[in-house]
Amino acid sequence: MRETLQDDKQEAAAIEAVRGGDGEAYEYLVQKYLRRTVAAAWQIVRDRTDAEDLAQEAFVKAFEKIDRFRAGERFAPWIYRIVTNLSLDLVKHRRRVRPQELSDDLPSGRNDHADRRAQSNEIAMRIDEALGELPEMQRVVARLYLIEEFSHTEIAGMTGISEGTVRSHLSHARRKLQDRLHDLMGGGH
Amino acid sequence: MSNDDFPGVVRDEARRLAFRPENDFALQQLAARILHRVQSPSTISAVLSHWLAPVAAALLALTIASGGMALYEQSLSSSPGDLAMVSDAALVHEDFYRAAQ
Repeated sequence: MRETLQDDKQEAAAIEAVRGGDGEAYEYLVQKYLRRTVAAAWQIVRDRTDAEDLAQEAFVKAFEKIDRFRAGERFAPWIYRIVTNLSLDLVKHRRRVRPQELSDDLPSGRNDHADRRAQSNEIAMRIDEALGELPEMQRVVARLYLIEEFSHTEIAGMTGISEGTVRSHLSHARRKLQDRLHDLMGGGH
Repeated sequence: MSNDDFPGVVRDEARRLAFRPENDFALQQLAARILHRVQSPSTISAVLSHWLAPVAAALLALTIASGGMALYEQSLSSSPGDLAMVSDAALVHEDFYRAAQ
C-alpha cells in the first residue's frame, strides 16, 4: 500500500490525539486499516466470523496499549502483528481442542467453502487447496504474500520471523505448490 | 501453463482468493463496534478500577499513617526513662537477694 506524506501526517496526528485521550480520533486508524486487518486474520483462521472478532480484539488491544506506541512509528505493522498473534493463538487453540477435526483432509478453510466457490474459478480453488496442505508457517506466509500481497518485510513484522525465513518459507511453499499443481502446467510428470 | 509462467499464474489466480467483505456495510458495522468498545469503559474491571482508585489511595495513606504511629509509639516505649526503671528494679531485687542471704 503506497502512502502519501499527507497520510503519514494524518496518521501521526490521529495517534497523538488517541494517546492524549481522544477516543474519537481512533476512527481514522480503524477505517484505514480494518479491511487489511480482517484479511490477515481471515487468511490464517479461514473463518469470516472469527476473523472479524479477531480484528475487533486487535483494535481494542492496540487502543488499550497505545501508550506503549512510540512516536513516529507506523500503526500498520503494529496492528497487523497483534492480529496475526491472536489468529495464530486461535489456530493453536483449535488444534488442541479439536485435533481430530483438523487432521481431516483440509486443514483450513472448511467453513468458507461456499465463499471460496463463489469467488474462485477452478485453478484458484486448486491453489487454495494446495495452500491448505502446506505446513502451518509456510501456509500462513504464502497466503499473506501470494493472496493478500503483504510484503516480505510486513510478513516478517507480523509473524516475528526474519525476512530471510519468510523468503525461505515462500520458496518451499512455491516448490510444493508446483509439485501439487503440475497437471495445470500442461503436461505433468 | 509452463514452468516459467507458474509463479505469475499462481499470483494472478491467488488474487481471486483475497478476502472480500460480504458488503461494505459489514465492515462499517464492525468499525462501529470497535469504536463503541474503545469509547466507553465497557468492562466491569475498568469501571471498578476507575471508581475504586481514590478509595485504594486513601486506604494506602491510612496504612502508612498507622504504621508511622506504631513506630512512634514503639520508640516512646523504649525511651531511656524506662531503661532506668528496669535497672532500679534489678538493684532492688539484688538488695533483696543479699538481705536474704
